Amino acid sequence: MIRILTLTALLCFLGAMVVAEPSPEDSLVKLSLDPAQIHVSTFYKGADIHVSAKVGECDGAVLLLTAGEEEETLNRKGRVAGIWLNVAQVTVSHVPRIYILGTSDRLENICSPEVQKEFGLGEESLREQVQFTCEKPLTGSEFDEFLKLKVDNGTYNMNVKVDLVPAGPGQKELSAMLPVPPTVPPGTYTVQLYCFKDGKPVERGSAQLSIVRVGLARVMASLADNDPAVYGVVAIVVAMIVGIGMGLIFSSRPGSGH
Amino acid sequence: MSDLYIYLPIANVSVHIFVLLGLGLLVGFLSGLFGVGGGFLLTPLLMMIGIPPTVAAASDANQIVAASTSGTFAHWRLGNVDFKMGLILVAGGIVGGTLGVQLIKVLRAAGNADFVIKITYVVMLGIIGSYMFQESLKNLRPRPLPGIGVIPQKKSWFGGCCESLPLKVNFEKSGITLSIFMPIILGTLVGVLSALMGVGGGFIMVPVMVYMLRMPMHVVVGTSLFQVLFTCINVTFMQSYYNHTVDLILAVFLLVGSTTGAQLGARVSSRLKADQLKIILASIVLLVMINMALGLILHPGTLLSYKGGH
Repeated sequence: MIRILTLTALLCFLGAMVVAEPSPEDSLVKLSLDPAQIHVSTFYKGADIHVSAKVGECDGAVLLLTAGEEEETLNRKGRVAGIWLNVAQVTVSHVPRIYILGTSDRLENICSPEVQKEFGLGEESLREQVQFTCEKPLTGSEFDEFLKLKVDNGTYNMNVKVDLVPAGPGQKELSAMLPVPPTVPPGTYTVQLYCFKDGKPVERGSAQLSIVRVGLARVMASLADNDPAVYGVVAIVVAMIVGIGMGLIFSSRPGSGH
Repeated sequence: MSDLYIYLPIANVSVHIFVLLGLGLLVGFLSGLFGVGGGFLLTPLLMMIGIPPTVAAASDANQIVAASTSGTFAHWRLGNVDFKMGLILVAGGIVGGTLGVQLIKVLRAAGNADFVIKITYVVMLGIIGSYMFQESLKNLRPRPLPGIGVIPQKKSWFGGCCESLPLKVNFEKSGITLSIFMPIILGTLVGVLSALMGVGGGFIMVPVMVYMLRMPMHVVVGTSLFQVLFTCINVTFMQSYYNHTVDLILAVFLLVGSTTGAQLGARVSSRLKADQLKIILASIVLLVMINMALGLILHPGTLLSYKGGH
């Protein structure tokens, strides 16, 4: 009896495996990033990452540039005696450091809310992911304010256009330009691609994007963080040398000080 | 031209080079034009272009090191620096600057550093702007004939207090004798404001020297620059060491702009009427103050903000 039941369960499981849609892991797409490494140098002003891939027959694609979850402490403003003050600290957990989302169509036209939540796509799934705690009662508007802050800062953007054009039989060419603002800190980030057909995932791919400080920007940031005393002395000496130099250029006319 | 952005590694923002040079040039031009420091205008302007307030204040102090170095050097060559008075003010300024930096550290931990910096600005700009406006208006009115309307100097409550303080010291260069506690206390107060506002304190120190310490005007500017130099060296070091908020790249771009602007301003000022110019400066100061005050009163764009400066 036990053997029959075990056999039946095994058959049911195998049957389900055959009937189910192919898992996204089964069909991986090669994703190309140009550049795959961003160098933050003296003249850095953010970067645009060109993402391209050859995908199979699909009717919608979603690109997501994101990084691991972290915890952030934010100040909550409130009005006290007519003046806007920081009145409480809000701890926000499961915060992606960056969240740049690109779609080939409106997200609700590409996949269902359940699928969006499953893959962490879009505003509503982000709303479920990010958690707020505060010593004072939550107001309920925390997520909207948090999103506004991140969008203003440029680290969250859900309006990137993904182009999906036919490229031969059963193939499409995907391309998009993902904007990375200068405020995104150095680190390793992941670009994920999800392709959907009739609302179901059919293909996926991912690629790593790294942001590294180089040259003067790297020297300055590292000195300021690791050796602040030396950085302070350097800042003073450089300022004095430049001050004397500029003074000599203009014949040190007095009265231009503070 | 549109690609000329500079990345500021401590502020972690990118700003167009011409915006930084332009701000430095504008503030330096006003400084040279009106003979007052531009630090108190530069920090709020930096905040307006998106530099975090604590980085703006600390980097402004760094660029004032450069401006006051060349100024002190020039005045020293002319023999217009009272080093004895300057060193006592420096001692007070270092104590005040250190206290101010620690105060910022505590306020940052509590999340209110930016608010305190802004409110200090609103109050100081309000007082200075109103005073300058009033003084300039008064000077533009027809003056009484010589010998008529001279108000006899009477000893104030403040003057009485100053005279009662012990440890009198003679300052030969300035030709005055007063208690050593006077410059120490005043230097400390200016030092605290320097750290909070990222300014050299010259715009507070000059009236303090003229009206409270009764120093002659020709010695005031050089001695003030000497004191400001050391106060800002201390503030720059402390801000770098404790708060990691000095952006040297930002400071260098600002001072290249401001030193150039100061020279241009000084040349233009000789061709214009002083009191009319002062009214324009007072109006600019008051406009900056109103803008900052509105920022504290009007509903902010977002009700959440990042903790700390950067």
